[in-house]
Amino acid sequence: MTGKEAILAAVDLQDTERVPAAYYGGGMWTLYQAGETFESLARDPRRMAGVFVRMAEEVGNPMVYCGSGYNNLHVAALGGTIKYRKIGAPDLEEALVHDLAGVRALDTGRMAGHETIQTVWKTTEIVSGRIGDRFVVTTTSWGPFTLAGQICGVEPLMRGTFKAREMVHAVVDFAREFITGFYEPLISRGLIEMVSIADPTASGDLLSRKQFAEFVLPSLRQLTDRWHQKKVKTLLHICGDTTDRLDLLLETGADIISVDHKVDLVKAREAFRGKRCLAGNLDPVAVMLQAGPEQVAQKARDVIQRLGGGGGFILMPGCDIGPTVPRENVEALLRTAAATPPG
Amino acid sequence: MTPERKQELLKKLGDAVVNYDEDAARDAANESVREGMEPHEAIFDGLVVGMQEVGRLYEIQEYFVPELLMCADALYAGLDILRPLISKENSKPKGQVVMGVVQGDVHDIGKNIVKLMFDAAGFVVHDLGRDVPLEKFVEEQLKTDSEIVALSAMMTTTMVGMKDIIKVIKAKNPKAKIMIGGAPVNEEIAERWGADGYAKDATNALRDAINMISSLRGL
Repeated sequence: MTGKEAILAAVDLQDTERVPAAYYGGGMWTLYQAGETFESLARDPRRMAGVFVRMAEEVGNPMVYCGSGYNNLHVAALGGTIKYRKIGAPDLEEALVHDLAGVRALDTGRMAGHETIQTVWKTTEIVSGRIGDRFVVTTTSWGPFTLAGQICGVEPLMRGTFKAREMVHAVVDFAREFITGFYEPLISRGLIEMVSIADPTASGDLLSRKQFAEFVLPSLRQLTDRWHQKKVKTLLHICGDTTDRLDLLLETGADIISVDHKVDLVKAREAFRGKRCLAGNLDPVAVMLQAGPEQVAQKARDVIQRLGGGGGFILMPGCDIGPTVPRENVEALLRTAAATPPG
Repeated sequence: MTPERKQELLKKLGDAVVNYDEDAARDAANESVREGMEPHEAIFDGLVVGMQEVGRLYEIQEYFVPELLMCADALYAGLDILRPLISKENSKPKGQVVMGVVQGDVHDIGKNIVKLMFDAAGFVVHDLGRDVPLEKFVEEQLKTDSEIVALSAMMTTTMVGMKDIIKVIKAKNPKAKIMIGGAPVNEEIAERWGADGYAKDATNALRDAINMISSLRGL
């Protein structure tokens, strides 16, 4: 069974001999390990694809996240100014709009002409053509609420959930349509079979369950419904402690739900068992970054033996991994999963 | 003013903050002024007590960031009325803090919440904003002679910058206390990098800061 087959079996809740493992996102890590910078690849899809393919094959991660680390650049297609960094993902400098009228004036039509978006699309095409038979090739984007926070600023968005609800709904709806448009060319050409969405601003540490239900869930559900109609699966990651809203995560309709290291994995496994594929949740800092490979392996074995049996589970770090996470730690995670029978 | 009336007004001020009701905070502040309450007392025994309760509600995950921001708006609605009226002898700050989000990081919502807790509690806050270069923290600490430097980072990529800031500040001024916070930061990192404290949220940051100031002043 290839790594790709194992991931897809987990999505279909099938029991497999070994628990599949993968890191999540990993754009920053991949570029750093490959000695590349975000800026140098932003206009060069052949080189970007080459880096993603080489690192996927060398490390053996069964999932390739094209464009990971470039999510902030999507807003540049709407007029945002981007600042590149020596290490790490580029940032958006300022919010784009400040009121409802500004939101209504936004136009998704500018997306297709943006150079970095074209680079990410082309990269996905190249990666899919080269290794799509053996690796799950996805392309990454922020979720609607996080993209909305970039468009109008996180603080105004958060305050707006009380003071300007109409604006928040409008900007989240716009973000959802933007994300739909971003994936459309990839899906219609059959280049990806899975979408990868992260919604960190919808974190369980930032928003209450009630606000999550009102401002986050509906848009995510609409996206996954749309993608299911096109036979495309969704990997969703929400940051923070979402233990109090595991049922709402199920309602998003995402096929793989990747949870933060703060989530009680036992509770998540119980809530998702037989219903949805759970992915998680080694601590990306205390374990993946700070511990050694032996400790990573020990943690991985512990999770697999306690919770891995029965299918529907992918061992992952509890969030994207930082660029300086030691390669031996990533390899220890993948190797341990391949060698450890689930309990 | 009778003790009962005073308690009633202080409760009104605190409740207005907890219930994120800006109008009620303004009304209660104006009432307290009209009835002769010391503005210092109205702030610290009314509004700030309310904000401490907000911190508690955040810790037990009853309140989240939007609620904190709304409560902060109510707090400032009251402070705007009361602060200009504080007498000189009561306006001595609790301490000074230099604060900012480290270079490469633009996530400042956590820092802003910590800032308002410090501000409300009577600290002078020198807010450097976000994406702040290392040398700016050092410069500002020396310039203001602040007792505390609070560093925030929300990404694993940017938190590593804290290590250098801590080293340089400690070399220039060993007495300065440094606290760090942000999603990827933990106790072990704080210890390893030589920070004096790690705060998992704004309430803890304030509590630690008050302890640090007390120890610096030998109280």
